[in-house]
Amino acid sequence: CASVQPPSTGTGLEQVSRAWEQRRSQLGAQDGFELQGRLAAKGGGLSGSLRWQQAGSRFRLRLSGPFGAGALSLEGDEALVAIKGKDLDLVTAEPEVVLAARTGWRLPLAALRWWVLGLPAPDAEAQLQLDADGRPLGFRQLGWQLRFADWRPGTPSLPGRIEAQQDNWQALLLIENLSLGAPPALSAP
Amino acid sequence: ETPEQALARFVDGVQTLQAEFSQTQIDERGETLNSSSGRMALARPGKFRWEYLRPAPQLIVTDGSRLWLYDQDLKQVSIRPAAEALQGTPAALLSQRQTLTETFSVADAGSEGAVRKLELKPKGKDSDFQSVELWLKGGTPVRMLFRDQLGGATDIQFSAIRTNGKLDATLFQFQVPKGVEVIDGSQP
Repeated sequence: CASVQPPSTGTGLEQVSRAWEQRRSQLGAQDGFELQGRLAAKGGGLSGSLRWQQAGSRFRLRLSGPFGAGALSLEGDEALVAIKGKDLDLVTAEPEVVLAARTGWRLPLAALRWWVLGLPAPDAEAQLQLDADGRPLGFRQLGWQLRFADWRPGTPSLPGRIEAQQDNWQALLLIENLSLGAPPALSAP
Repeated sequence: ETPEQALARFVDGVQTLQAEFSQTQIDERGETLNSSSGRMALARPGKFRWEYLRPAPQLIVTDGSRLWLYDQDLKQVSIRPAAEALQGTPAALLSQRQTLTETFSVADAGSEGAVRKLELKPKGKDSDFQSVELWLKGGTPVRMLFRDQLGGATDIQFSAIRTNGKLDATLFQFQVPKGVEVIDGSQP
């Protein structure tokens, strides 16, 4: 999938950006998702299975190592998040800071909810590289470089492998399955 | 037979074990998180192999001194000292010899027909698990359940169980494939 060059006849780019716009409106209209996969920090030796439920801005994320070792849960919205784990039970307005300090995981939680769908976060600038089907090869946003691969069939198709890099920290998300639509378990606050 | 004797019959009676397993993880609300399956092997003391085949290949292997955690999709293997990494995991529980009752208190948790259920609670405070349930049939494990620190559980059912067979030593070693990143935390 070649990255998008300005095509000589002008239709290529138009067709690609139309495909991208269609993808963006389809995904943007979703009120949530439920994701199951594996998350790992390259080079950090941190890895675990992940279940992520998102409904509007409310989310519930659960991460655990082999046999449930090191189980960690985060639940809340953009304002406040409850973090629970071994010797960890607190509510914070800065979950990303607490998570990094207490577990070593550096996760851009606020933006990841869009990135897992292959979308840039809505209110921040992003330079996009699109493939011929209007899907993002990657983009740079909020100081992170995103790369997408293993696209899964479906309308719209969704990425199966997402790399997010900031300086020398690289997180890799392998998505085993993702269903669109807010999970009922989470919709009722 | 007291719980300790039942456990001892397993620890002393089963020198090697091979089985297939299917695993389901549920969260603290009882919702299924994921399910996976694969095969395992152990040889006392300390040798252990836990190989996930579905949904994705992942391998945990220890020769008793080092433990390899290999994720094929991530092309990454992390190596840790076996003693440190084994704390309270199935590896420690299944393959250790005498230290078992030093690290766990054992209690009877009933029986169903020929299957005896034991509940093991880690004695140390910093275990990754609240408790481990072990179902034994004639001294052989048929099911294990790990309760994690959030109250979720990892439920493992064994099948095609073969005990005390001769196992090849290479089963408990790991050759790092070409192109795989190594995170070596095994040197103290």
